[in-house]
Amino acid sequence: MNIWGKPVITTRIFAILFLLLSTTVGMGVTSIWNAGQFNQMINRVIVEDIPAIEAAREIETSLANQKGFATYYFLDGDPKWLNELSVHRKVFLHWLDQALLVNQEPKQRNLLEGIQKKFAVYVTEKDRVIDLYKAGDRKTGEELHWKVREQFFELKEMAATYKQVNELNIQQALETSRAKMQRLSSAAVVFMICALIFGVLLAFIMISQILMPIRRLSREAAVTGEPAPPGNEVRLLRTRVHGLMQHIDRTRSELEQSQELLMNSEKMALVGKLSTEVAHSIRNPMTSINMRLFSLKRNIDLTEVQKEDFEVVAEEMRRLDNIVSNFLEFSKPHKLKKRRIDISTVVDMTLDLLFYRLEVHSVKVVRKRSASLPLIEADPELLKEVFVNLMVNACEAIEIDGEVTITEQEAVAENIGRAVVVKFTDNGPGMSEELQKRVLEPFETTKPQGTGLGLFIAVRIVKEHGGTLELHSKEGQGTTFILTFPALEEV
Amino acid sequence: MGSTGVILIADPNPFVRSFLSRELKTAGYQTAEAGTSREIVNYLHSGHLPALMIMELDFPIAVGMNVLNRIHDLVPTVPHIIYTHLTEYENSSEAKKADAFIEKNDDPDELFQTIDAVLARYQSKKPLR
Repeated sequence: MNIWGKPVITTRIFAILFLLLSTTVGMGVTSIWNAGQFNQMINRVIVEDIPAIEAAREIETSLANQKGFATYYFLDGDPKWLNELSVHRKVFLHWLDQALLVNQEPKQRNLLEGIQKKFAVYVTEKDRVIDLYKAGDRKTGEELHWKVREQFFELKEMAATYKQVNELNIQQALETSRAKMQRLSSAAVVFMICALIFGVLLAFIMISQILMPIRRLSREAAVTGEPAPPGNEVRLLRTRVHGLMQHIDRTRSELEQSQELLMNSEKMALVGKLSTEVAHSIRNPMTSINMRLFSLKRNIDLTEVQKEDFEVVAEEMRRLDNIVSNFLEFSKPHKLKKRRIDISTVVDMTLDLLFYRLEVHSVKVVRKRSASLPLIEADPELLKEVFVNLMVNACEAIEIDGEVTITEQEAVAENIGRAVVVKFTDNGPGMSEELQKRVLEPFETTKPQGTGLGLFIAVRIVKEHGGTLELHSKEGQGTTFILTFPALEEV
Repeated sequence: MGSTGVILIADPNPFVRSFLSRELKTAGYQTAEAGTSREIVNYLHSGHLPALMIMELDFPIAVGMNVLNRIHDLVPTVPHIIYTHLTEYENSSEAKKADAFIEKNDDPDELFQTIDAVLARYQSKKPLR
């Protein structure tokens, strides 16, 4: 089941990576923005709120410190009280100026300005009280003093309010900070969960759609079923693909070989068809000529010279007949009449057939035979044709003191398995490498009277028996033909 | 042996036909010749059934088995000897219906002996017309 619909793996991975990156970047941006906000807030608290509250406290204290000096002066007339009062007034004004310097909200500024104005009125009034005391008008002074006292308390109230407002500001800043922190934590948790989900999803896709297929592919790509080499999945796949490529190379070269073979066999089929047509057309008049020759020979008396001429004509006719027969043999598909035979019997038959020819060429035959050879399934007549061909070739190649060794043995051959091998080794002149290549091809012959089809037909017959015919030769060291046939399994 | 009837020699090569005809006539037989499958069929349709047929299988156009099949259909009782170099047909079912199958070579003696033998066998079974 594909819950993803159409998108290909790359699109999926990029989509999830994008989501994952967006989550991470989102988390980062949120953190930076919040950090900035915190920084601003702390700055404000440090630069504005803390100096403001400090000033507010000092204003309250210095105001409170001004209390009582006029009264002391009224009681003992000592001017040091007035000095002290003026010191505290200076301190008060200093802090008031400090507070006014701080950047504040209009509400606080109004409050401060109210305090400033009120304090100016209060100082003026208070100085009048002191002046009245100095002038000795105690009664009027005292009356005014009571009024000024009211103003003092109002001022004190205002200073306290200013301080409270500032404390409230800090309190608010703290609460805002706490709320922000809360929001930031929630956002972080959401982002972390998202990142976790996307990460798991990415891992899932990587494993299920890339790693697992790679592992499966490497397992399936094992060419010869060899065990997995150590290493990671990609290295394993690389090894497998490398193996497959080698396999492809091998297959390609096999294909090329078989194409070549096919072309060759197509060519041969055409040549075969052509030669059959030609051979058939020739054979008919040849039969007629032969009949007439036979009749002539029977009916007339010839002189010695005429007899010799006649014999040459007859011999050449026989040779023509042989060539035509070879051509027909070459083109005719063999119908194998296979039966279970001992290959030695066929060798025996061949040697019987060639008895006189071996005598004529004075060739000695040496036989080497293993004790008990397995049977093979073959057409004895066709095999005999092959053996005769090889033996006649050997006889004709050997110049003096000819010897042909026929070895029959059991063997295990490549692509065949258990096999019966027959070797024909002669002590003739051998063949050059160039000749060895050509001699198994059709129409290649070293003999002035040959058709160049004998060995080609021999190879074909052996192949039709599921066997192989190989040629080993060195110039001056004789030639060996090795024929390998699949052995019948013993029942 | 002159009274045994006509031997039809069917062969595409006129020189083979004339040679066989000459030799058979010398031996006392009557002969007729056919060089194509059409001539064979014409002869068989003319109302003269031969006493024996000597057949080559290698006729142009109507090759081998086709001619033989036609003859088997037309005159199934006429004895015939296949005399040919197409030895690959020797074991075919059609060729096995023939009275003899002889490979054509330079010595016609085997053919002549077989003709005598086949005719003798047929004459002993039933008298010819």
